Amino acid sequence: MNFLKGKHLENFDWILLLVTLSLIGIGLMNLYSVGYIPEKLMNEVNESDPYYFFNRQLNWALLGIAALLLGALIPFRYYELGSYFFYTAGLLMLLFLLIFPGSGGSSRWISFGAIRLQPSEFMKIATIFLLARFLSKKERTPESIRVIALSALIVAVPFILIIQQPDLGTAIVFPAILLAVLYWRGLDEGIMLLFLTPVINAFLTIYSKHSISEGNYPLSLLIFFLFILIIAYRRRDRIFQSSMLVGINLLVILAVPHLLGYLKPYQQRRVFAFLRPESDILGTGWQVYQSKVAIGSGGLTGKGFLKGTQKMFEFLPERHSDFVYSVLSEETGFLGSIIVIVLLLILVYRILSIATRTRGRFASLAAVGICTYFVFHAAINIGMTIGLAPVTGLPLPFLSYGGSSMLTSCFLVGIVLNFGMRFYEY
Amino acid sequence: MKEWCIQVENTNGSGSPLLGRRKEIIYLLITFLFAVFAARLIYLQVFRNDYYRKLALSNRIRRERVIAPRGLIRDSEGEKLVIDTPLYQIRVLPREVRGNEERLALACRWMDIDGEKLSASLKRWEKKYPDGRAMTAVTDADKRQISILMENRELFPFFKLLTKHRRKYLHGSTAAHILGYVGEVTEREVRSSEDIRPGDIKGRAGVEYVYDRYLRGRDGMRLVETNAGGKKLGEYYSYFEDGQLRSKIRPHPPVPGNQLYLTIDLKLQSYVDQALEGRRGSIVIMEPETGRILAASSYPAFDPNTISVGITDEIWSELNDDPEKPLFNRSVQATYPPGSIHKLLIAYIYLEKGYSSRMSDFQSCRGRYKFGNRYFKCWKEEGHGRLELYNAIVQSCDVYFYQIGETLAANTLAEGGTVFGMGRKTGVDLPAEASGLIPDQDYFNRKFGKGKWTRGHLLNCSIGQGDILATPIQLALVTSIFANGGRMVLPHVVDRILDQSGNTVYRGRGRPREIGRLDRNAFGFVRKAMEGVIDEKMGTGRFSRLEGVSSAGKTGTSQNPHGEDHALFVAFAPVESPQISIAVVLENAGHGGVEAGPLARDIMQYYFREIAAGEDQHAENREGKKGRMPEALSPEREVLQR
Repeated sequence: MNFLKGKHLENFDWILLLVTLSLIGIGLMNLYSVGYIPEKLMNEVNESDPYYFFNRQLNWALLGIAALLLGALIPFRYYELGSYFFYTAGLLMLLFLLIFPGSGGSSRWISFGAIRLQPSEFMKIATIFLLARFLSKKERTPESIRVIALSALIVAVPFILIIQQPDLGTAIVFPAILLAVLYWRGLDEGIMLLFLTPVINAFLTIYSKHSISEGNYPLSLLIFFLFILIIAYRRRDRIFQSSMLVGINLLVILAVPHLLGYLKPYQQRRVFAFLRPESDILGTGWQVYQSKVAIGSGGLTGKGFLKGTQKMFEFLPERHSDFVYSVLSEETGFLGSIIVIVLLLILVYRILSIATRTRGRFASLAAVGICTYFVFHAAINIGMTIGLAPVTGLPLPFLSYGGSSMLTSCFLVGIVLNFGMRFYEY
Repeated sequence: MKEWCIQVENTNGSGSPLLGRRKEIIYLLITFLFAVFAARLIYLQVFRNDYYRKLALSNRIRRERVIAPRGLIRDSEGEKLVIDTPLYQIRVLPREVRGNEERLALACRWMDIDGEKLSASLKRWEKKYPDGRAMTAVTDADKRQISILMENRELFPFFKLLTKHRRKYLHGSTAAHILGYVGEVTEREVRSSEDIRPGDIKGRAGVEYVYDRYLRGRDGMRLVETNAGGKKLGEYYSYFEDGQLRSKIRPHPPVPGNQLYLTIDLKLQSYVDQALEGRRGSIVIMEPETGRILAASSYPAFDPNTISVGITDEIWSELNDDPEKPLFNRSVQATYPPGSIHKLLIAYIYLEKGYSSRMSDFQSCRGRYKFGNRYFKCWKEEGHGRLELYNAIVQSCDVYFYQIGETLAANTLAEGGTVFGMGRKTGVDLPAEASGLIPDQDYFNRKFGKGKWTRGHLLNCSIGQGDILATPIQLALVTSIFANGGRMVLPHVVDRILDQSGNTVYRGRGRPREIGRLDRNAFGFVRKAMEGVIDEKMGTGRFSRLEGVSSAGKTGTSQNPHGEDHALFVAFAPVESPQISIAVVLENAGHGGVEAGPLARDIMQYYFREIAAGEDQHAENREGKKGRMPEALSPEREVLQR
């Protein structure tokens, strides 16, 4: 097999690589700042190795670049061929974790000496591959219920296993990938709306119930319902589907508040806290509050590299992982924050453009799955730090500390580069 | 394969209307999502920046009270007597202990704390204060304990180090009763005033109590940066640049308490304290012209250091229940019958009232005097024989004074005392002063009922017995008045108070006041007799004669129902221009001339040899360096200038 030919380099997406390396570089600088202890605090902070995360992440970044090359250089048909194997191996690891939970009651990591890896991260790759391979057969279109069901099954198995860990945040990436890939394969938009709108509707209903209890008008829910009515009207030729759409959504709006009443008060509080962290100021709300203070106090140009006070004085929780974006935002301000968002946007655009350019169905579907992976992670993580998304603990690709996340993200970019330079292969 | 290719063209390429639309929808959704984030960032970082910047500041910046150090106390020469030193206390947080019991035991082992005792008292504490407030575990932590705690803060989260101020009494029990002691404010005091907070220190006795207002400084406020755990990370200085804090109070440094300069001379005081050690009683030494108290000793004494730092219940009850009453300042709080010393006052009033012509009719002393059907004894059993007033004072003949008492009305007898300030507080700046007692007609009427008391009571009064009571400081005051030629002075122990910049904010009141209608002849006669007490061969104070310095005095031996007689002695010297007057009271010691007199002699001898000589030296030095030490001028100088 020939790893690299001239025509491969011709079609190599240098922008995607450059954006990825920039994000890794920014992430490393940011983690250095997280570890930095100013001189005046030297005596106060009892940290044996403040740059622990930075140093380890540096190693992970180097390994990540290796993973990127690995993903890019081996012709992707081998990955396509191995997707059943990857998937099975991933499932076995997840099962292993469930049966032999790791130390400390947490069953998210498998330890290899000092290195701990999250099988759920690699399961995302394996699932994307298998899903893409499964749907790449010409006759398997989402017009058949059987194909939809089997696709759902491919995603449901790891989803359920990861929920058992329990790691809801990681788990919900899987349905998102499923929906995106099915949509790309040609899933009927009406059916998709039938599945998607009740979920969004349920969240908005709970959210609105909370708003009403605070004396606010449930504007978002009304707009959403209006949106549904417009879609139903526009698709009035398929009268059964349209009336189903309106009916189910109406049912959700009426039933969800009622169902909430069956929950015990503490469970209700948890649901609210998940959706609106600031309603639970002593729990996760505290983290979001401090994150918003960090970001808001950063201003236009930020407090300066290494100079974030929310970070320095440890008001920000999970500075190296979940709220790494808040640190960046506090120190580099709006300019730095928007640069990272633009970089992520370019990354996603490039992946999408490769998804449309590539000729093989496997590559195209996998690229869309990978695109969903990045969009979902970035949206949930950044959304969490600015108070627009629930606190789930999803890492920000390339910026959050974590070996599994770094390796997975890099490898996925490598795969997309692979698709890009071999776009004519199938 | 070819088919697949076409398929791709159809489904994936831009040619396909279906997927082309889907691509656009996906682009649109993603762009919309990121645009929402950008808008949110603009909202937070640009429009709400001020709001969040304030929050970020007040997040980490706390106001903190800085306790002002209490003022120093110095002696008349500027020698430090009481200073403020840092005190490290280790407090234990009951809520942090839960679940950490083993670590607490470990900490106690490392730091030499009695762990079992601590847990027991912690249990009691929690029952008393269920709100989880901290309990003091170590009141006075040593260096080792502090360093162990600092190195293991993460390991022992239940311990909190607290820096406080401690009063240190540099000379132990020397001048203990004058200095007094301090204590933490009680809960009631905290509730009574907003300025007082738990843990504040307040004077409880002595000048610490009387001048608490001056000694206590004004607490400061500073801004400190804290981390999320509330741990202090140092002071925050750039307040004014930021101007962002919502609080309006600006940080200010604490103002230390003012410095007290006492009239007490440490050298003399130490000598007097030592002289009195092992006995029971009091010695007061005063500057007759000004009322400055150079030394005032009371024994048994106590060490204020043991009281001022978180006194334990055992020590407190030991001090409080001691029958010898070590906390009791005998110099101003104890009252004794003045005994023969009172004869000076009786003699004066007798002469002043012009009864001297009757003296020739007085019987000679046969050791006792018959009054009604009772015999009143003279202290000298064999009797003094025939005497005139001068020798009656010198030899302290009781029989002679019984006859004076027989002559005078009750109120006239009382007047003898009150002219010289007996029977009322001298106004010395020490707490809980007793007034003593000079009985007059009203007093007897009240006590026995009108007409139910006899002149026999007056006979007792005329030799300073019976109901008459005087404090040692009153005796010293009376002696001073005789010494300074009849001027009433105000005894005081605080000479001046200086604030931090050296300005005098208070001056001890040293202005003497002439006693109105003083009979110069009578006064001079009694003063002369006081000289005789020491100089005459038969004088009761003949054992107290000083070498090279003339002195005058009077002995006293007062009977008391509780045992041996009290021995008293007062004196001043030199006679020509008195520098000191002294009053010595020794409880249950026996004869004044034998016990108290020589003690006073030794002290005065020490004064003239060691201190007065040195002061002359000082005075010369001061002349040499004109105006260099204006503060060191004694108030008398000021008085003279007026």
